[in-house]
Amino acid sequence: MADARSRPPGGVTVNAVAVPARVASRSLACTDHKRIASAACMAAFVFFLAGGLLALLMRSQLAANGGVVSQQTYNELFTMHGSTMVYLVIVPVALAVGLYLVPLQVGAAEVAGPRVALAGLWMLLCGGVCMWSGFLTSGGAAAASWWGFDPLSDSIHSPGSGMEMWIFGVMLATLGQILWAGCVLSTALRRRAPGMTLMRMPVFTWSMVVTCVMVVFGFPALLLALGLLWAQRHFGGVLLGGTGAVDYQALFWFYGHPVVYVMFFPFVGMVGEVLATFSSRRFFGYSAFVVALLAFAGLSMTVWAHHMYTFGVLSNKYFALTSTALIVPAGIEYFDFLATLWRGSLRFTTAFLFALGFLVQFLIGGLTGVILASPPLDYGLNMSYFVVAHFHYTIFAGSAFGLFAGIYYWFPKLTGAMLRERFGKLHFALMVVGTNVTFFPMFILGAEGMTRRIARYPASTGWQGLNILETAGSVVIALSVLVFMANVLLSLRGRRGAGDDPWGGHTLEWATSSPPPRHNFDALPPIRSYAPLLDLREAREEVSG
Amino acid sequence: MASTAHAYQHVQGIYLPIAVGVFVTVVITLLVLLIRGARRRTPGRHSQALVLEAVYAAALALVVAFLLWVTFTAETPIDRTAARPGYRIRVIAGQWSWRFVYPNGVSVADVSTWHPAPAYVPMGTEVEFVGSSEDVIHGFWVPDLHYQRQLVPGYTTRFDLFFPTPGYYGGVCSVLCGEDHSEMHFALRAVSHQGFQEWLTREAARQGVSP
Amino acid sequence: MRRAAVVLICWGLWLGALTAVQAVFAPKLIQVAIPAVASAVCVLAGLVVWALDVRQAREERPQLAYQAQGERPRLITDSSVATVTLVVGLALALVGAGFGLWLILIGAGIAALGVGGVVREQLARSRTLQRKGSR
Repeated sequence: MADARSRPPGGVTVNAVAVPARVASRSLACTDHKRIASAACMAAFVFFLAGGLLALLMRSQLAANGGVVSQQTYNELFTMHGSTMVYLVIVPVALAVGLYLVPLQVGAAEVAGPRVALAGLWMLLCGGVCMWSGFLTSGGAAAASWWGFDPLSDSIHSPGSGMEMWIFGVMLATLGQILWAGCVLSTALRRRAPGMTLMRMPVFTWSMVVTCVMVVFGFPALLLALGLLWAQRHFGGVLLGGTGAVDYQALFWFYGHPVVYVMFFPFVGMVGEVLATFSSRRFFGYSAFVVALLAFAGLSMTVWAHHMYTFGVLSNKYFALTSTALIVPAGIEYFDFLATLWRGSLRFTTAFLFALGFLVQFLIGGLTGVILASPPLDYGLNMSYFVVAHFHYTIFAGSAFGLFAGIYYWFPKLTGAMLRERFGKLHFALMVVGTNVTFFPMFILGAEGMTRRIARYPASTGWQGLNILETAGSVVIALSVLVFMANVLLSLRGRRGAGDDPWGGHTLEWATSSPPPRHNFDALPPIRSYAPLLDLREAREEVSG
Repeated sequence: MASTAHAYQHVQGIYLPIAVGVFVTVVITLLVLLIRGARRRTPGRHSQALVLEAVYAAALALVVAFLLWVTFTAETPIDRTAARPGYRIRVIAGQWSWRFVYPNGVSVADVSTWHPAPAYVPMGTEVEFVGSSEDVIHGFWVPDLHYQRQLVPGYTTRFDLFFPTPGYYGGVCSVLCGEDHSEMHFALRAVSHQGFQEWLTREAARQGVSP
Repeated sequence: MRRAAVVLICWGLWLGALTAVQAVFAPKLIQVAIPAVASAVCVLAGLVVWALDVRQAREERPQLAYQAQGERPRLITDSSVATVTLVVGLALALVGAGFGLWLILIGAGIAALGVGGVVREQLARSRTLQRKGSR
């Protein structure tokens, strides 16, 4: 790898020398943030398929109303489904996309702390293997839900090493996530290229900054909770009867609510970039958006006990206040999204469609969140399928759509090959149908009194019809994922070259080759706003026009 | 009279129409923008409206204040337990059973069943429940009253329920509690004050406890 | 560059302010303690970043001209087997906490190998930097 020293007029020179490495170590132990992030995304996709299979099993059980698996196995299924999707799929993917893009978007040659980032990848892998190996133990995998809440998770009520492996697995994965967040955060704060001031960082980078702040200062609470839980299991007396159960959940939810926004903000950032690019105009209301994001992140660290309204122990009204106040920053974000489309010249690519899907479907998740933030309503809906519907609308109908918008948008940058638009649109259509058929009926079932985490329900409730419908929807989702996989494989085999900037992007990652070189940039354009490439284009138009 | 069902209906009657209204407004706005934007060739360059956004944020804050006022005024009475409840019943949850114990010693137990024996309660008055758990966290949920409380081991949970009409109120455990979580049902039957007293006396005689 | 620390400091204070609002609502200790600790740690981290940036600015000022000439190379770490070894060792040791001392010891041994490797890589790195810098 050679020195790269070309210098554009008015640009900034980037110098980089790479230490040569043996081929064998390069694939497994490469410290290139782009390779680490790609490996993490692939690992997360494998976990996504595994977690999805568990979901299909659960849906079969509920459509048949019993008979597919036992209640104990069912408990293992949803515990591992939730744990996999949260700890091993969405949070790692959210951070991995940041790990890939933030150094590029701020014009850095590499991520801050490349070894630390590599360690994060291996912690995620070890954590995932550890958590899933619970299925191999005689007592089965963990079965105390993805919260693993005490006392159900203690040594009396959850004996066996499946629970133990779950604790270690979650700890490792979470530790890895904290390390990644530290790397991404310090890259954005301390490794920006000259000219890249804070208020010129792209929208996605800002969304990663607030995400990483929440990870770094919120996630340690989970490590503490799990450490206490482990000590309780082995020595007892740590989580004392009574307050122990409350303390565990307070610590857990101090992680558990920020994590909901860790699974949201990065996708908000992705959608923001996608909307701006395919509206062919500058992102609207940038500074208000940044302030809203920061305020949003602060509020979202103080809403956690709305998961504990029905304990009646903590101050419900305070948490109702902060939870409802989220309307303000969320409203500003939606305003900016819509205003970006205003007077835009729109291009209806697959990425853009997924971004629109995010806007509409996340709104359902967000509005039902306002409903659940009100204690008198939560008393009637908590722990029901209404809640299950709500958070699947935020995480799947919202964030997963945002993620696919990002994948269709940045795939050419990562691989140098375009994904096929026709397959993409089929993928989108199937996923919209599947998602809404699967999750919307859950609102109705929840309001009618169907409890979450039950493996059977009395036939007299009349819930089986809607449950069969939901299961049919989940099959459509599975089909859409198959279409996506076919799209990726076909696109990689019969490459359609992407070039550096296939979409007319605004941010620095589009100023380098696809995929970017090891040191990211041979040359940087001048940075005078949060959309440096759009600046160049507009300047050219003014000259020519 | 703090009726949880009434509080729920009242708050929902305000929240749900607003939510639907916001959703419809956003979707219509989005459609208009998409139709107009699909035809436009040269995009606009205006990308900042700080004053408008500040006014909009202030308007949102007013909406938040209104929603909180609705929520707090509905919540306060149902969070409070009456100083002199019409009746007091102990409810003990365990893996995987419910036990209702009345002051005179009468008890009703439902063990892992979808066909629970109903525990009688007087209607039209506040009934205080004193809840506790023997092992893990359980959730006392009566969907028709739109109310639930988690029973946490080591804590005594007190709450009032108000049964507006006579009849059968099904209940379930709402918090995952292990293997028989799906089967942990209970039932309450609300009857007139007189009917309740008669049932209590009858049960006392049947169970052999002194009334 | 020093403004970067402001993000952490302001955000930590914002979290602290939101936590302080709890005083109106008769809170339990734990619900105040957790976010209070988080906000304090965040402000502290902001101060550390501030100090780092001040120091870096002082050190780099004379070098900026040097850098503009394209003379000072930046070293990119390409791979680190030692880091992977260290993580796998730590993971085994952690799992050992549930399965017995033998696994903890095996894990600790592998982790020690990893630490040695990381130190070796760092030494090699600073040697390379010296060589390139003096060229």
